[in-house]
Amino acid sequence: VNDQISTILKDHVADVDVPRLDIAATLRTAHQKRTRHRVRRGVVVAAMVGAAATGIATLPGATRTDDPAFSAAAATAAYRSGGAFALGSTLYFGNSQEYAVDLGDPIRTVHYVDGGVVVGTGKDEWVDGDGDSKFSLVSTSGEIQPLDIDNARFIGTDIESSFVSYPSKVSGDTWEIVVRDAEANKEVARVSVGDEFSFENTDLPYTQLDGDIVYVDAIETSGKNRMLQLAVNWRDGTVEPTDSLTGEFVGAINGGRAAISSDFGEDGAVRDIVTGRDLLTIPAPKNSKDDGFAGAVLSLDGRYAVLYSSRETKDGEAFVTKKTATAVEIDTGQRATVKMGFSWTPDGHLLYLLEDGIKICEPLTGKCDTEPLPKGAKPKVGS
Amino acid sequence: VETTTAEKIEKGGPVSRAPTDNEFAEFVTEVWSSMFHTAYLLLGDRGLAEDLVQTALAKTYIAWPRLREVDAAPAYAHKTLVNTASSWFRRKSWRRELPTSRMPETSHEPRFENRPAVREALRRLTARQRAVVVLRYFRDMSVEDTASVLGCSTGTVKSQTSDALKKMRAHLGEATPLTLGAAS
Repeated sequence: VNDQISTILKDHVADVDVPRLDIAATLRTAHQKRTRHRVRRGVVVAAMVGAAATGIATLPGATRTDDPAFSAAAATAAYRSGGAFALGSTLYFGNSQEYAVDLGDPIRTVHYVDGGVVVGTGKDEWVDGDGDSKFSLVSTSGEIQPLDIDNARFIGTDIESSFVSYPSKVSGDTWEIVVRDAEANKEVARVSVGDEFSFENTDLPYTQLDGDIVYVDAIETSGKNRMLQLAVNWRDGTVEPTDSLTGEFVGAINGGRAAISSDFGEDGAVRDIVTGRDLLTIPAPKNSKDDGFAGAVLSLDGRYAVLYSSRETKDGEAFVTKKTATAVEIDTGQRATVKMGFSWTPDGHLLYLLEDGIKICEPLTGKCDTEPLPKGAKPKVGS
Repeated sequence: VETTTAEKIEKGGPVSRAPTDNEFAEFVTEVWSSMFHTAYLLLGDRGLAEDLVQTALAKTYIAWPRLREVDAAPAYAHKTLVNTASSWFRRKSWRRELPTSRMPETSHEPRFENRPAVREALRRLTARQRAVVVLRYFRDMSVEDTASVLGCSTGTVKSQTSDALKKMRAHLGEATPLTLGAAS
């Protein structure tokens, strides 16, 4: 009977006309879907890296502070312990409304650097819009320094320095990596990444700055054409693949440690970049038939990791991150459950912008301090 | 330990890059007909089958870097096709989308007398039973590979196969001169 069923089915379709194959249309559909997919997944990872690791906490609900005069020393202290966040066009240092700077335009991104923050402003959302952000350094003295950064939507920063990194297109798939001192608004390095590597997987190469190294997502064009992280030493101009991260889906890089997302059911890890040793396992979502994944957001010094997991929605159109996650002190293995939706403060606390206040929490003990929001601010939390 | 086809294609590994357009075009050309026929058997409608194949191919394109080897791509594409069809079946609106008494493809009249009966016999199966039958008897997959693709146990595949064959035998036995005999 098995042979008969097989014959019946094969006979059944034998004279069904197969539609003409339109390869161009098929490729176009595939390209579009890949772009949407990578943007969606990139949004999740970049949002985790950005929002939690480098201190983005921007929400709509503009408020203006008419008297932004404040003490730089006090603002610096508030910034170290409370981070920075933006509401509408106003940037606040620390969990207080005392240290506020109005940028005039809606603030889309906030990146921590030494002595202040670099903000991206613009009409478009920072990852979705066609327009590019304008970047400015806002120092803890309240001074605003516009930066000459063109055609960049993502920048890399390191809280230990005032430098920022970003890609600059030369032509086609050829890029240079630029490092600029935000404090002086002066370009300090421009490194060509050559023809051995491709960036065809992205519209705009994503850079992360960690000390003297700029890590760049790329694809090897020779050999096995693997995904890799280029290590661009901006001080001496050398460019080489990061052996310990080759072939991995890398999220945050901080303090010489990289958060590697799980991929297709295989566990991720927090890895020491130099030694290649896995310091922590990031368990892949169990029994996941979708394209969900798990990852980690690292504190700015790489001391803590918050392990999160995401699943793909049933329609395959979005990723949803679980509301709770696990904070781990990497060197001791101490763990605690925390809520997602946070930003790191420079000194390793979790910053939550809530509808009714600003909450700063110690990641392992769960001890929190809450301050009221600036007067008149009504953030749409979770929107 | 012997690994199934489904396990092999899910391990991830050294491909780790998107295919070039030429590579993907070559791949699509190779699998197009087979995937369309599989989709047609699962859905019973040419238009929906074509949509399903396009969707599965696009998903395969995205997943390409995670395939263990390029040779695994056809199996992955078929697996994606079956799973995507299953997700379509789960939609509440699916019943409304299903063609009912008449198929819209009047220009593709069946050559064989038993063709409407086969189509109807497949339609009488549950989505899972139809997938089992198509994978096992059209795609010639083993029980183990079928279980891996559908994400169920081999026991489920066997029982679903048995139930499906009984239903098909009952329907085809009435509608065609074929003698199907006892289910194995």
